[in-house]
Amino acid sequence: METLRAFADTLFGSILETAAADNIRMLVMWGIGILLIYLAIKKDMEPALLLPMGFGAILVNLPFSGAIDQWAAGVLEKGPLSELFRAGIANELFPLILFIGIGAMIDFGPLLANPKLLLFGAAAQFGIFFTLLMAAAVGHFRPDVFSLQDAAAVGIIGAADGPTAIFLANYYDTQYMGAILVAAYSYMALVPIIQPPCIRLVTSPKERRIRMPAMKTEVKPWVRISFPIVVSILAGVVAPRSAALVGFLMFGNLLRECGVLKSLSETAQTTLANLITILLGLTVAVKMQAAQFLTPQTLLIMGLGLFAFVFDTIGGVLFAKLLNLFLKQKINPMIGACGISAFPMSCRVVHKMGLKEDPQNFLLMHAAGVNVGGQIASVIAGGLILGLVPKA
Amino acid sequence: MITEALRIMGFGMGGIFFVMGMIAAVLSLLNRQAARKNSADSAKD
Repeated sequence: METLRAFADTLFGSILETAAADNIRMLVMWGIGILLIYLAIKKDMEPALLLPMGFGAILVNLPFSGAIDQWAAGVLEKGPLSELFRAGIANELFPLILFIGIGAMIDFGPLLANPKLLLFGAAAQFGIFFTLLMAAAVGHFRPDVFSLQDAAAVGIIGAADGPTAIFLANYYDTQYMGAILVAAYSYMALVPIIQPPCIRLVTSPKERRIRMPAMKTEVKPWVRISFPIVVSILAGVVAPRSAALVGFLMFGNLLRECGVLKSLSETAQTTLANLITILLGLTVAVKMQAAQFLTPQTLLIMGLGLFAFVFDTIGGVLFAKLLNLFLKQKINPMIGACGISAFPMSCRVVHKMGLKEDPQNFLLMHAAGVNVGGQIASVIAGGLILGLVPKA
Repeated sequence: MITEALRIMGFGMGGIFFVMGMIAAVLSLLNRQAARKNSADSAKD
């Protein structure tokens, strides 16, 4: 009997030592981790991030998990995921290095041929600031829920851009990083479900059938090379805090467009991006420990995150409708919705909606131009928030 | 906090439109330059 008890203690001692409530929370987090893995594999929802986040959520919610830092007999035992967090997220390096890969992947051609599409990218960042305002309103009446810095980190879900969300959430040292990232990546994958009803709500069938003329797409190589340099300088002068975010993205793009660094460009797009993505997803799960994640604020953040995407979409479409009041050659207002940074999903959604209304209306190039403009706008929006909202 | 958030919203949206507008303006200039050079080269031919 004594032997059996000692055997049970050895095997299940860690579970027996934790309180019953902690065990329930642990089980709930395992369930959330498994749900994220299921969504990643079965529903193909942002699998590159949701799968490692889901698995990481399970690892960090094991009792006395060796994957994260633990205090044992007054001594701090460092865990590998916590070390990776300090090595790559706490110092903002992982999201910035990932931006090099993302920049190398993007073809800004449709945007460069029609620079005015950049303005739609700007308009579609409205959701970020509107959500910041709503979160700040919650914090005004309940300061224990959100500080201004938390509100800024929640608002940036509307950037629809993982690295920017990680960068800001970490910069402001928000306790809600896990919830913010789950919201951001989940809603990015749900863009085909979120955007169409929002677009239909603020447009008429006649507006949705507006045909756009064929776009010129030829861009001189030296314009393609000048673009990342111009953007980095302009954004860096107006919003100095955005220099790292914008600069790394544009550096990746310069690697792609310079024409003399093909192997570096390919490495950035593939090996580098994949390597950082693996580490990023797993490491971010450090912030998905039950005590931080299973709170009413997580549900509130999921709701506010959805608002951010909705108002991004509506903001972009309404801006296009506003421009149509002054333009002779009308714009199909649906392309305004592509200013959200969810590339290439958003432009495909709008292109499909356009074909549904009129099988002869090909919006893809215009939509893609606006979509890549949204990528730049979301990063600049992040940089502006860094400048406008001080650290706590 | 609400007033502060409204201020951030105003400056933030204004700032993005300003930066994106400037980038669009510079790009348009570059494109115009490229088009001018193109026509000059075609005229020579």
